[in-house]
Amino acid sequence: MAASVTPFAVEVRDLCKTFGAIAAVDRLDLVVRRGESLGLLGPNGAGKTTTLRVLSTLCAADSGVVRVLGLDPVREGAALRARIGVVPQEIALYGELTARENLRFFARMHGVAPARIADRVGWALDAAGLGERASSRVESFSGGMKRRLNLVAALLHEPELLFLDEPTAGVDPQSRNHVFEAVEELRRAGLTLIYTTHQLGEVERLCDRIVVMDRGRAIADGTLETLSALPQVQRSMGAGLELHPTADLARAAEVLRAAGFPATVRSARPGLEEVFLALTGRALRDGDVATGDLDGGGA
Amino acid sequence: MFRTAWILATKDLLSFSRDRTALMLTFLLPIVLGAVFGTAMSSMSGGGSGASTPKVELAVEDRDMSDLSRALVAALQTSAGLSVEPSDGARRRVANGEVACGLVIPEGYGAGLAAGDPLDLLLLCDPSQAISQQVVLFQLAPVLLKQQLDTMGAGVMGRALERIDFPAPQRALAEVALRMSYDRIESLLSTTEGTGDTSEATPDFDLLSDLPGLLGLQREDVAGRAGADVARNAGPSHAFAAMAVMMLLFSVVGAGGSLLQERAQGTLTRLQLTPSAGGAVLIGKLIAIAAIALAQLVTLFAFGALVFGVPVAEAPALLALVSVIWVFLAIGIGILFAVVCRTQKQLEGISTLVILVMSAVGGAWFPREITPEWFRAVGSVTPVAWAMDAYHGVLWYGKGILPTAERSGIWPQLLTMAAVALVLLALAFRQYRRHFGAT
Repeated sequence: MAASVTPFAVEVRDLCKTFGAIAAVDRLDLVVRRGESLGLLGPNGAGKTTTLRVLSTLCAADSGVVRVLGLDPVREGAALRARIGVVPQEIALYGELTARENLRFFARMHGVAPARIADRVGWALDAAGLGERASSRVESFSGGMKRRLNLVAALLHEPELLFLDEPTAGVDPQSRNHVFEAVEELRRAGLTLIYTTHQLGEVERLCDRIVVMDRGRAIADGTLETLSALPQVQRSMGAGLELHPTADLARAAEVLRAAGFPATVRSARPGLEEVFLALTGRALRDGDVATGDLDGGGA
Repeated sequence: MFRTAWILATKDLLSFSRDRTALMLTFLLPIVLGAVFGTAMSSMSGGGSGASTPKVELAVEDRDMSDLSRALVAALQTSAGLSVEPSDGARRRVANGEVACGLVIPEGYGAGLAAGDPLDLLLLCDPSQAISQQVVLFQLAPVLLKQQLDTMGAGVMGRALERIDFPAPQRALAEVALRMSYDRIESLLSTTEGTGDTSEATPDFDLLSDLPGLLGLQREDVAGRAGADVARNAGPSHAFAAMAVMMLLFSVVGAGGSLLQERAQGTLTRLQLTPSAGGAVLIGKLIAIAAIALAQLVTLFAFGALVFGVPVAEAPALLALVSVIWVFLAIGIGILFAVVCRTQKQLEGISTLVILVMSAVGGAWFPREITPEWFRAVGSVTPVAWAMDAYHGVLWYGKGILPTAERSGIWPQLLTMAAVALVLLALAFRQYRRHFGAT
């Protein structure tokens, strides 16, 4: 069946998926436009991963309508898999193979034309910053290096839609930043992205739109600004007031209170991640692998 | 320090108590294997009773058909350790491995015995079934002695000594042994029966080798394969067949476990996300496992041929066919294990238990013919038994696929293995789609 021309990369209506008595996804409606970068947020068990599995052909929905790139994931799974990429949460690589061997293998499995494989593998190694370690076994890599390789392995066949399932879990800030930059580059290139994570800062940085899921349902949908403006969000957050760095905070608090505004004044601090990156720089630290860690393995 | 060590020890014990695979390998496996070995060993040492007593099959070819020869056959049929099968082709049955021994009663046996000069009986033996031979010999002895004594009287003693032409230095010893008469010999047999333990005999009087002469038996080893070096080939042929069967199961199940490993590390999901996912993933695994398994068999048999003279080169094509079919049956078993187990650890525990027990009862560790009938019946329905029969049939007995005038064929084993392999592979594919498959 030919894919219908639609402005939507993903259209989901009334999607339900249960496991035994548990409704992992419960009447979910979701639309993602082509070229959009969607953040899928939610606590553990919210249904994010199940939704990704249904969209990426890994499991079938119990009911509802699902179209991805105009295709039915169940009946047109093979055609759809050729056009999507998935960055799994696990480091889904073969440790006993080298980085290049892994990439060549996945390129061939994805049906990349033989004449293009060398180019694509070279591109992926550069994109992951692993050109110099192309011939090293992946099992000798640090967590960050594996994460970067894990990401580019999903891009070898130039997918139109990329699913990223917590792609930065357990990596050092430098590698995380490298992943962010790679994702931003993909965004600029017009790739449609669906990004799940627990790290809110990642979504803030990388996504145009956010869908918050809980108990299998989408409970909020919008940009960071529109979500911030939601009444229930406003109620749980105070308003901010920006002062010049040289302002006397104690004096400012007195003035506000005297004017009838109940206020607590404190110095705004950058996040720890920003502090760490500012102090240690953004350059990758792959050379630290050999120093090992407490378990005696790579860092 | 001791307190810390104690805390660590209790943690380890708690972890161990929750590891079902470790519990199974630690407690269940030794008990099951102990039971299997105990059953087999007690049978070998005569400890069985009733239905558990192993009976060694003896093909008896009565060419005389006299009253005395019939009486001998009837007496043998009452022997506790023998299953006597009247046969017109005892030699063929021994050469085919269908029975461990055959007894040929020559024409004129009855008349000779009545005249005090009996003809020798011919005992045909399969050298690859040494334990069974001993059982047969010890079961034959009292029956033959009794018949000879009953028929010829005590004069048989002197004639027996003349017949075997004992050298003078040992003559006195032999006379003492013979003088012990039927009761003493029976007593001797009861201490050595089934074990081959001839420690009570003197160094110069080897009961096992001299007993046939005393009994008026001509013993002939019937080589399985024509021209085979009996002394050199019998043991290694069995041993390498056994290793080919058992170790292949271990390596194939281990390789099948890579499916579980791939699932655990996420690469299986990644493979399922490729356009050609589905059955291709499992077929790819099968091809790789088959290549590794065949390489293992080639290495094993090449070593056996070069170092131990295993007659691999006598029928390489047939051996290759047996190996290919066995590999696919083993893969069916291995993949089925892999798809029904949830973790690699579970796979290791269950497969170790099943493979070791199946190898023991299937004849890869000790010959099935020394075990009780019920034990043999259980063993005969295991894939290990089919593979052992096929390999041993080719390597030792020189069998082909189809029967000839001299040899039975191994087509029943090949057909059974191929059919079961297909069923198991089909089941494995179905289970794979259910437990591992994408949409």
